[in-house]
Amino acid sequence: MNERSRPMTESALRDALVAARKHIDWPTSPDVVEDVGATIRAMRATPSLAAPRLSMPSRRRTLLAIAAALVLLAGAAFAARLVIELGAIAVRVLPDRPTSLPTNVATSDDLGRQVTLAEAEAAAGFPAALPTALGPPDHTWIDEALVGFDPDDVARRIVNAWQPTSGLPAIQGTEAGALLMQFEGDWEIASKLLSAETGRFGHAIVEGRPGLWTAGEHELELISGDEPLRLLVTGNVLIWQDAGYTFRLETVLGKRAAIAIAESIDPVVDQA
Amino acid sequence: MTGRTVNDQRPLQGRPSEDAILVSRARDGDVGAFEELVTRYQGIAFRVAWLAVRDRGDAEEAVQDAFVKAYYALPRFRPGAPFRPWILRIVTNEARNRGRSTRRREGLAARVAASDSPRAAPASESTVLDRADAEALLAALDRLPERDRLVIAYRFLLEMTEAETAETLGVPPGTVKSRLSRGLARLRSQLNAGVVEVEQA
Repeated sequence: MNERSRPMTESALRDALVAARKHIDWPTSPDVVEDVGATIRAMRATPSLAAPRLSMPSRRRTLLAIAAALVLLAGAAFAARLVIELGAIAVRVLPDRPTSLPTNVATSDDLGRQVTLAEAEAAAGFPAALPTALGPPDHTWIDEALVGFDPDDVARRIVNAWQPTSGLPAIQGTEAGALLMQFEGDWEIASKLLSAETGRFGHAIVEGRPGLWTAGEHELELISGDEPLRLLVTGNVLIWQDAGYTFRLETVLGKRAAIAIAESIDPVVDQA
Repeated sequence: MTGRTVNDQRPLQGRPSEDAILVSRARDGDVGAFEELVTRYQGIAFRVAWLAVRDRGDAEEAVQDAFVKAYYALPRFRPGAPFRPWILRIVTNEARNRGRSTRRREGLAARVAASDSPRAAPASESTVLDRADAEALLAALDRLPERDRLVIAYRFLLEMTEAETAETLGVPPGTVKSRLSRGLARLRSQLNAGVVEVEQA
């Protein structure tokens, strides 16, 4: 019977989907056993990551993960891609330089909806963390990323920007001297793609908390809604976590100055 | 990329009792036991990942990262629980994080086997679909929002139960039911516009 002449029933559609499955020429599955085993053995062989136990405080685990990743990166023989997760931000380190970086740095439109600081805090449902070293921000944006299957499953972020000053030079390609992103929760809604070849990254400690420092051009992917946004990062970036938030501070300043700015943030109220 | 591939003809289901033994050994630090689990589930893991990202490279990376993370998460694995939905959920999360990548994705319809004959064996006793109709059906599936598309794809293309689909996607079973209902309704509305012809014996 030809179904085109009358509406397809749900039952017929279910059967058709099952039948369609048999037509699919699935891509050949790669054999990852050896790579997975080698990665685990390499990480186990790194003394500082010998036993990441659940009972270990998360801060300690993060420190070890960063330390182990950096140790592994120091070994030229280790060519696998590594992922360092810092709350909402995943840092992916490639053994080779990425073949193509995005060409566009973040513009106002990329950062979300420009609002006042009070509006951002009201929309986000949490207070913005502000470094006293920079004073009140000049611009503020609010944005959200879909993290679940329902429209209400979103993680919000507040972005504050400060205009350049004599002590806070402009980030190349932008009109900002500093950009501070504050991500809510642990959902991965941003990622950075770094090159192990250039190797301009390392650990950082902010108020005793583990962080990551990167310098030089790299790719930042931000999720806005359910869409990815690939951006070129030209500044130096400090990433750290505090009280259920993930922070990303971009300036052209050095590591010590960036940490000083980060540590000038008043204590953050824990989300819990 | 390693260039090594696995035999996709192996059954997708593992052997739960043996899984429990392997998990126990892996939790005690036996990497070889964990590699056996990887061997068992990398095939279905890759398909789960590929359906989410539609890019072979991204899917492979997602699977590798997921297995490494799973190894370190084994202390949190509830003894006696089935390993397959647990690992597939980790794979799905890894893949969905990459699924937002701006790389060009491969359409499901593009993977319909080139050969037009023999016609695919009927999936039920009454339904036969030819290549063109399968392409049209899968193209319509491709056009659905990710949340509807993945539920339908996991449920029907990977033959997961609703419960396993829910576990793999990390959502309540009720959400799978509602997503299936909504997604199938959307799909039917597209197909009833005359895109696909389904023959019933």
